[in-house]
Order: sequence, then C-alpha cells, then structure tokens
Amino acid sequence: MAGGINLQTNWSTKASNSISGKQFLQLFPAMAAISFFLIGPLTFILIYSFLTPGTYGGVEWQFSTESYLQFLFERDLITDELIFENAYLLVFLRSLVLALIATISCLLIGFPTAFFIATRSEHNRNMWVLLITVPYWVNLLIRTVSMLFILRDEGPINAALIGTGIISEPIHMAYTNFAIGMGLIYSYLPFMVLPVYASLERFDFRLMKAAYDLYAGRWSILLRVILPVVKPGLIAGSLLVFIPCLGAFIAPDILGGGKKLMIGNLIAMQFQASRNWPFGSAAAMILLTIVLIALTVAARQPRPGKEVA
Amino acid sequence: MSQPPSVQRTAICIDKVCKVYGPPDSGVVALHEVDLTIYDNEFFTLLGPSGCGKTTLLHLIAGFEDVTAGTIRLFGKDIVSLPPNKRPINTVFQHYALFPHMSVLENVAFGLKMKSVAADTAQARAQEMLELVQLQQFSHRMPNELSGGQQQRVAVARALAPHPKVLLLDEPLSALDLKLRQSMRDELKRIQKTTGITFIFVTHDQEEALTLSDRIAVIESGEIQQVAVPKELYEAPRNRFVAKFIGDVNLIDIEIDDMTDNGLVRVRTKSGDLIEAVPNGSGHKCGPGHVAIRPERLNVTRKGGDGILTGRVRELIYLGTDTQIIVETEGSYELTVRVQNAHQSHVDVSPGDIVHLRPDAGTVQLLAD
Amino acid sequence: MMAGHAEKLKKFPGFLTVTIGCLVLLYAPMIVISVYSFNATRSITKWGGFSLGWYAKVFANPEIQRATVNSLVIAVSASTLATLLALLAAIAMVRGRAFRGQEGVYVLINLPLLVPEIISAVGSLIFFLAIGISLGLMTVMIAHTIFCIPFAYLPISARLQGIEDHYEQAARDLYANAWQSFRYVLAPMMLPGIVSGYMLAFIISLDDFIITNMVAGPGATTLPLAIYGMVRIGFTPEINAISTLMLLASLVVVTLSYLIGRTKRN
Repeated sequence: MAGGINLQTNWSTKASNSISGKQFLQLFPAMAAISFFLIGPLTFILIYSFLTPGTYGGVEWQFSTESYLQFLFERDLITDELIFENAYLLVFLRSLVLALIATISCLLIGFPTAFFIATRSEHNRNMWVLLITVPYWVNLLIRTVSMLFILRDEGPINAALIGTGIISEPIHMAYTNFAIGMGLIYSYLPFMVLPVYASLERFDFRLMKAAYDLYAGRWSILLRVILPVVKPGLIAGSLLVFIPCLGAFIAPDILGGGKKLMIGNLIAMQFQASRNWPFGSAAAMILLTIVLIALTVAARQPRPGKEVA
Repeated sequence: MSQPPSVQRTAICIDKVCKVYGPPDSGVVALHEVDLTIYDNEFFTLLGPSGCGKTTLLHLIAGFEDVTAGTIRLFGKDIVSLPPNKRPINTVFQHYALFPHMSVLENVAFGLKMKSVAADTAQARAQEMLELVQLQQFSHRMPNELSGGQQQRVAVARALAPHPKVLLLDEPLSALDLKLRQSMRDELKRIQKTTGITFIFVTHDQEEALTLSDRIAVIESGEIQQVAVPKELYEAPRNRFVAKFIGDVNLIDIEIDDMTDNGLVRVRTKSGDLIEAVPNGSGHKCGPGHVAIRPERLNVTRKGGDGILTGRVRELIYLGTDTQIIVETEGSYELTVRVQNAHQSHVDVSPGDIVHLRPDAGTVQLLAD
Repeated sequence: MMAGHAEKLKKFPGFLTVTIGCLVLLYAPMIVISVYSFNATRSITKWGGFSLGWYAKVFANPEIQRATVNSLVIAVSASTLATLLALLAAIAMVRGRAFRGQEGVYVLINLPLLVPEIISAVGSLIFFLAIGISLGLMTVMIAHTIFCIPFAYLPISARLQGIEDHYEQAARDLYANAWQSFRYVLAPMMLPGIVSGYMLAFIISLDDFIITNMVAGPGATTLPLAIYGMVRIGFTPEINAISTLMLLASLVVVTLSYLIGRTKRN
C-alpha cells in the first residue's frame, strides 16, 4: 500500500526542508558553472549597458544612460539636443511584428497538425511525433540555408515557375521580410506542434461525444470544448515560438541578407562591426526584459484543474 | 486466547514506535505509539485499509524510513539505527521491483553478491531458491519475459535467497488476478512452512489475512486495533472498527444493564429486547455501548421471549448458498440474518412478517467502544 | 452508429491538408538541398546527372577538415562535461528529498534555455574578455558546456523520474550499500537517459552557431562557422553537400538517441 508513501510525498511538496549536504555537493558543479558563466555574463551586460563606449570598442568606465536614449533619440552633434529618431524603434517593431506573425502562423499550422496527430492510433502517434521532432535537431543554420536555397531568384521555386511559363521574371523572395518570416516559421514550428500535441494527447475525446450529444456542432465543439481545455498547450507553444523568434539572429541574417535587421542582428552588430558595446548591451537588456515580461505573463496564467477523468 | 505457546521466541519486538512525517510536533502522524510482538516462525499479518499506516510500519521494520520515536528489536537486538542493507530482513515488494536489466538468476543472486558470498555458492543458492518457487527452468529469462505470477515468485525467491531472519511482504498479491492470487496464497503458505522464516505480510484484503495468517494485527489511523488469531478476530472483535472491517456484522446500540452469574453481560437494545453478551475483558460500566453479532449467528424462531430479538421482515435477498433476511426492529435499527438454503424450511417468512431472532449462545460480543 | 459518428467528429475538414503542408514545409527545403548536392552541374534547372563530386570537394577542403576536427573536439568535451554535471544535478533534484528553493535551482539549471541565445552569446564574449580569458577553443568549450547542461539534464531527469524508488529500496534491502545500489541498479537503469542526454548535448554543441560565432577566437572555426563563411561569399553546390552531411549526422545521432531511449524503456 502506498498510504505511507503518499503522506510523505504530500508533505514533501511543501518542502520546508533545507537542502542536504549531499544534495548540495551534487548540485554544486552545475549551479556554479551556470552561475559563473551565465549569470556572470548577464551581469556584465547589465553593467556595460550603463557605460560609455570606448573609442576602439570596449567600454569606458563612466556611467551613462546614453545607450538607452539612443534607441529613441539622436543627439545633434552641434546643439547636443535630443532629436527623435525611429530607426532602432523600427528594428524593434519589425522584430515584434515578425515574431507575432510567425507565432500566429505557427498556431494556425501547428494546432491542426497536433490535432491530427493526437487523433491517430497510439502506435502511429509516436511516428508522427518523431517526424515533427526530427527537423528541430537538424542544424538551424543548415535549415535556414536550405530555405534560402529554395527561395533564391535562381532557386527551384522560381526555376519551376519560370520553366512552366507562369512567370517570366523571378519573384524576389530572398532577402525580404517574407523570407525572414518563412525562416522563422520553419525554424520554430516544431516548438508549437509538440506542446499543443502534448495537451491534446491528454484531452479526453469522450468530451467531444458529450458535447455532440448536447447538440453542439463540430466547430462549436472545437471552439467551446477543445480550445479552452488545451489552452495551456497553446500558450506554452506560442511562448516557445515567440521568444526565440524575437531574439532570432540566423533567419534575419541569412534570409534578410543583413538588410532587414531584427533585434538579434542589431545586438550582434554592436559587438562586431559597430563596436558599440554599451548600446549592444542596452539592446540585449531590452530584449531580455521583453522576454521576462512574456514569461511572467504566461506563468501568471491560471493553471487548469486536473483533466476530467 | 491469543497467547502463543511459551516456547516461542520473539522475532520482532516493536516498542512504542511513532512515525511522524514532517516536523515532529506539527507533521502528519502516520503511527501513534505502536506496540507489537511478532514471534519466530509466525505468519503474521498487518491488516488495514489503505492509508492506515501498515505500509509505514513495514518500511520502518525494513529500514526504508526512520522511526520518529520508539525501538524495534530483532531477536533482542535494537535495529532502528541500522540502514536497510545492514538488517537481516528482506522484502517482497508490492510491484516486485525486479531489476529489469538482470536475468532471473542475477536478480535472485543479487543479495548474496552484495553480501560477498562466493559466486558459485551464490549461484547454487539462487538455483535452490528458484527450485523452491518452481521456476528453475526460467533462470535465464529477463523479468519482463515472465508472467505476473512468475515475477511474484522470483521476488519471493530473491528475498529469501540471503536467508533473512524475517521476510516482509508488502501486498504481494494485489497486482495479481483473482485465480492467481488464490494459488499464490497456498504457495506462500507452503514456502513459509518449508523455510520456517517469520513472514510479516501486509494486506488490506481480510479474506487473504484470515486464510493465511497465524496471527493478525488490525491497524487503523496509525493505531493497532486488535491482535489475534483469525478465529478470535472474527468471532470476538474488540471494537466496532474490527467488527466492521472483518466480515459482515450487525452492530447494535445497547445499554449495559448488569452482569449475569455466568460472566456474561446483560444488555438492552433500543427496542427493549434483553440479550446476553460476551464481555471483551476491558471492564464495563453501565451505560451505552455496542454489541456485534454475525448474520449467520441469528436464528429465526417462532417464539419471542428473553434473549430474543424481535422485528419485521423488510426484504429477502437470495444469495445462492444463503438467503439474507433484512429485519427492521422497533428500535429503528436493521438486522441482517443469513440462513443457509440447505435449511430452506426455516426461511418460510415473507416481507411484512413479524419474526423472532435468537442469537447462538456466546456469539453476541460486547465491544470496547 | 454512435461510435461511427463520434469518430467522424474527430475529423475536421482541412486538418489533414494542413498536416501534410506542415510536413512539406519542414522537410522540403532539406530534401531539395540534399538532392541538389548530388547534381553534377551547378545549374538549378538542369539535372546534370548523379555525382559525388561536390562531396569530394568538401572532403578535400583543408578548412573544412580543420573545422570538422574543431567541431568534434568541442562537441565531445562539452557534451561529456555537461552530461556529468547534469547527471549529478538530476540525481540530487529527483532522488534527493524536496528542499526549499528547489524551484529556483530548477530554473537556474534550465536558464541557458530561457535566455535568448544571442544574449548568452554577447554576454559570454564580454565576460571572457573582461576576466581575461582570450577567445579560442577553450572559450567555445566553456560556453557550449553551459548551453548543453539543460539539454543533457532534461532526458536524464525524465528517465530518473520514470524509475520508481522501489528498485533502490530493493537493492538496499538486499544488502547493497549506497554506492552499490547506484552502480548495479540505478546507473544501468538510467543508462538510456544518460546516453540520450549525451547525444542531444552533442548535437546541440555540434550545431551551435550563434554562441560559437561570438566566442570563437582565431583558429577555433567550427563547421557551422565555416558554412556561414561560405554562404556569405555566395551559394555554391559545396554548401549543399556539406549541409547534407551535417543533416545526416544530426539524423543519425537523433534517431539513435530516440531508439535507445525507447527500446530499453519497460
């Protein structure tokens, strides 16, 4: 009987115990490594974002909020006045819009796919899930390059369209916002399908019968029964797509040809060509803040009760 | 009544054992001061509903959990501070916990290997144990290639191989289907007789407990309710919980009237009938109480009178071998009577009839609560 | 009748089409690039016959050779170290009793997954320079190890959670001490999770571009960096070939890890 054990686990979840010496020793290496080599860098980003850029890269140890102001304003060289300037704001807006479009597209593609998989037989489901998972493990750079390959002016899509005489001039798809969006969807689609599938898999499909019995049609069952129950999966999936899209670097870099910047590129540029570390750090801090807000909002979502057995 | 022969040695002595999960003063109490003596060579059962603390007690004996207070002695030696691997006690787990990556033989030999027994001796001993559970031909199979019943036997063989002084069995039959469970019962009894090892068996199944055990401890809410041989537990339950938990029973609210000359207690039911009950030895004062009587101990008679209960038949339920008669009394309590159908002549009553019920002598048991 | 209707109820018109579209989107680019890697000519429109010529060119390219060696050295060391750290952490988190602040530790272990990679990348860059570690193979290894910890941790802890503690109790009951119970019972039972975690960490390290791009010093060029450099210059069929090779490597490792994780789970 599990009576005694149950009591114990119930108790344990309240966790008033402090960590044991052995546990601490076992956790120490991983915690120390991450604290030093990840929390450390994040702290440096925070500090650097309030410093003054050095002449040849690096930083001057002089406090300044200039890096943050730089997002919205340009300082007139002569009068030292702040003049509103929207170039960087546009980069942020483009990132937000592209990330949103990618997330919504992934939802629209991902939910039906996840639903389709969840209604397969148990044996087949695993195969479908594997099919969806495998692309994620293929190098993101390679996948993006292959997307560029097919979208290019000389790529197979244009070649086929021209070859069949539908168009005479290639459609410029590469190096556009469209290409970036395609790249983002392509990169993070599995992130949407998998969590949505996970919650659909636990969905009790007898609820559909029950709703059907109570005179609900197919689409109102979808809207009023299924979607509310799998909402946590939809939120998790959206978050898993939105966050990496927002900080994406590879897709805009390869598919945008470096012309259509997103936040990720803007940050990277400051540490490479432009050598303005404080500005790059400030951009990173703003991105991190947006991500934290998104995570907090999602975490605040009320946890659904246990599924109806 | 439950006194064992004086020659019996004590195998396990549990003395004022408490178990509290969480802080000792504010945590969840799983066991209140439990005292229990288990004798050598005994088939002893801890019986109780889920969550009553019986598994906790078993874990304390095995050493998987630490006692909050009290001592546990194994053949006189205090073992509470010993880790499980230093206690000469082995466990048959509820879901067997056979190591899935080891063959049957490796599983059975594991304990011996850990005790640094020479490999060939360990092998021979493991084979011997597999013969005991009649699985010698399966020694090279993997656990997942065995049926539930076979896994069960391997678990028993594995726990017996290191010659434990006491074998603990944690609901070992609960995962088996009914038929298999019955044959495994016989098997366990046989193994216990053959090896002479003390078995401590945990179950929530009263039938299992009654058929297997030399003695049974009924546990509820972390307290021992009664320790007795099966017959006594059924016929002379100490309190309402034990009476209800084991078999079907009529529990009747009564007032204790006085003692009779022959050592019985005269009690009055709410409908005013006077009957004689067997006291349970804990001393009784006049006042309210309860008696227990088994349905098959009530006989339908024609006449009323002293020592007879009276009521009106509400319902007859045909049960195959028996017929169950539900009788409503004036005291607005119900009595269940069970009559064997072989004596069909006695059951010529119909709903609505007034009937008189005579309990067999010495079968009305006064309860402690 | 009812069952038939109910089954039909699960079929939403168009969902199958979307699913197929989803798979085409996921696989078409990779399949197209692989097919063209075998094309004898540079042309997209014309199939010049099957050829392994581009592969021969890739294998003969000394820069690619050097990058491959770098990638493997980094992936092996980073994933080994990350798996070790993750294993220890998983045992403490899953097997140890619950403790105050455990959720915080969980977040910390998974932090590398939560922080946008570009931020980890530039942060690591300024951090290494600030504490005076010059960029090179070592910095890539360190950064990869950190990034790989959660990838190794998740399958290991999932596997560990799937092993009831009855097995260790049984081992202790049968006279095994703590180390023997780990060595003979828990470790063999966890092995598929450990292998799976190791392989995922390996793939993540092998594939990483963003962090590597920031913290790799001269001489620490990895395969993804080499490919990036080639793409920057212009699209050549060599890129198709090397992409196909890396694609294949990922597929092999992931499939292996999936099979190992599945077959031994019973």
